[in-house]
Amino acid sequence: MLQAKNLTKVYNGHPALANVSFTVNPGEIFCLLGANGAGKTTTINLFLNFIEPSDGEAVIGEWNVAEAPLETKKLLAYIPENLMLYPNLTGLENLDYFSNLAGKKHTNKELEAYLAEAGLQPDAVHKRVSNYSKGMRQKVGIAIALAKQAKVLLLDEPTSGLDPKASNEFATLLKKLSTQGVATLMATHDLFRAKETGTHIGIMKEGKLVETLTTEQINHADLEKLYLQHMN
Amino acid sequence: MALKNQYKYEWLGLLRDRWIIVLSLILLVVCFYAAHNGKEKVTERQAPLEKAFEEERAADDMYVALIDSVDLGLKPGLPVWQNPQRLNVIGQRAARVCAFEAQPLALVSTGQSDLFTHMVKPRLYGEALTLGFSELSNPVQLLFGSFDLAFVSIYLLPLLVLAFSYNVLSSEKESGTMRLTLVQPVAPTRWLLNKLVIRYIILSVVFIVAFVFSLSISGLSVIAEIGSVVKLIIAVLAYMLFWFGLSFWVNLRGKSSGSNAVVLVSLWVLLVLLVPAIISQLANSLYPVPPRVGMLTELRKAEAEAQKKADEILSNYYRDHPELARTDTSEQSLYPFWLSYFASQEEIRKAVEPILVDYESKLQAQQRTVDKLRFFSPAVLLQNSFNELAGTSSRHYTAYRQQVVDFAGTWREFFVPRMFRNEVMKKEMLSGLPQFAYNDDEVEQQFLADITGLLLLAIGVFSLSLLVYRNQAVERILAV
Repeated sequence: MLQAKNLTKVYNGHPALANVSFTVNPGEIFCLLGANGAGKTTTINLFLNFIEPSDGEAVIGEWNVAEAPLETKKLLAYIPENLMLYPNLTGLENLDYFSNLAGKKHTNKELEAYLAEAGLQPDAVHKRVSNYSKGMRQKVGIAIALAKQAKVLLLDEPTSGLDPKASNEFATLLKKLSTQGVATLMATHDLFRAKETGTHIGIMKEGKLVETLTTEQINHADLEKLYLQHMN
Repeated sequence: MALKNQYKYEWLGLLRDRWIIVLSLILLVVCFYAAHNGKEKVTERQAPLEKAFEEERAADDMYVALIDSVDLGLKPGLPVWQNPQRLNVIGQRAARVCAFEAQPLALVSTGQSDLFTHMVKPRLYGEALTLGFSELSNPVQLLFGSFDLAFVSIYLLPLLVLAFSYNVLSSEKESGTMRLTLVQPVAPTRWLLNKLVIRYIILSVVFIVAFVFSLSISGLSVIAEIGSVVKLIIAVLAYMLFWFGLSFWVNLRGKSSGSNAVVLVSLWVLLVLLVPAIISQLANSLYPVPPRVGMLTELRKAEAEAQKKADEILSNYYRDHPELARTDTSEQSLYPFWLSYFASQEEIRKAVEPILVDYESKLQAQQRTVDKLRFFSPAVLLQNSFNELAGTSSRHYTAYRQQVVDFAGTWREFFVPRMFRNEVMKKEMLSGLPQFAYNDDEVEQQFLADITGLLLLAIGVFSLSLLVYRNQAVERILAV
């Protein structure tokens, strides 16, 4: 569903990403680990067509992202570290607005159901987003993905800054989506969450994917050991 | 569908922002004040004209009575230079008022009306070309003229457009909503265009309401003048479209709100203040018009020459105009001095004709240059449309001046042949004196050219922006 083929991005002669290749199949959650500047966000931006690859290609479904950005965007949903919505619209209105941009038309009832599914408390649905916490905004982001019926989820450190309960709820939602066949690529610093939620783990260092493994192969302690080994 | 939805939420967002309320109120107040101001100017212009017409009527009544009295021999001691039976006395003292009355829409644009006179009384003696018309020294009205609706539309409205649209994209980039939009399958240029379209519609509606309302409040019957009012509105909407186009381009650059504001205000200064000034300067230096004073000096010289050889001139004049020579020489002429005066005046006219033609052609060449160069500034185009529809353009004043000069000839033609025939003024003749009426038909209509120019400029800006900023590129500029 989601494939990086020798993805390379060079900034002023300095490689930010070098020959990165991996595949995320439907139902898999691929967690990218690595220090700041290792190339995690660059990878995600390449899948979003926000930057142009110097070499290689990012593929979503059967489309090369750089060649068919509008086609690939029909398939994907994106939740950045700090998801921002229109503050003077309500949660429901934001959801309606963005899912319409995505080409979906839902009734208010359906939209409310998506927000409920994403875990947003019912009394917040019709309040302006300016009063929302970060966790609530992330939930609207999930609801947008649900309403859009996205096949691919791109997450850039979505749980950083969330309290443990919110973080846990978020992980549950991701798992639920993966059972529905959504392919997820998530950049994160949270080794625990990666092991708990992810199906696969990739460790990045200085623009290279240095390790790929499935979460079943490893326990928490070994994962941390392996990660630190690569960082040092 | 998606489009309708975007409009709906844009509108909702703007409404909750309260900005739009403030903006509408500003525009409304400013339009009211401008219309009121324009109305005052028109009243100032009209008042002396009405007074002059009243005086003219009173004087006519007085002369009728006086002629009666003289006929009945009631005024034996009346000096000859006050005797209304003498044609030259009436021709001089009962001169008609040549008024350039304000047209119904004059209040929208002061235009050239504070540079020129609106009332002239060409008399029998003296020359029409020495009459006190002001000089055409300001082909394009520069900088801040009067605070009228033209000023509001040309100078202030673009600023409101810019204030309303300069950060449409950058604010989203700065607040972070941009990225969420960019991952949706919509073309960013289309999305931005929609955002500007709804703002354009809102601002247009607010402007039309404010414009029509303030005109009605100022006593203009909008229904009666609907054609011109609609034309003005169309011109302003085209002008606003141009400014939205600039904003579209600047937004697509993907720079910060601050940078956008600086670029757009600079463009405003360039197009609204500098280019008109440059056009005016260019026209002046390419086609300099000699000072009117020089022309008048030439005229005086020719006059002095002619006075010296008045007798000779008179006999030449009779040779040229045998029909005016009196056959009955037994009667003494009532106008011995005036006959040679008029003869010499005609000589003077012939002598200064080339000077006048030269002066006029230079003026026209200058005006033609301005006419061509105006397409470089939408502000000048809109000003031109406003002045044309208000009847205050320099073309109107040129036509008026020409018509007054022609009328001065008509006036002379009425008296001079009668004087040569040694006739006297009768009271019935007073009501049959030539009357001046200003006629608009000769004024060249430039509205269509102006509106075409404005639309082409607007479309040009939009197309260029779309050409320079392809969707793919925009996405990448905006996302990072």
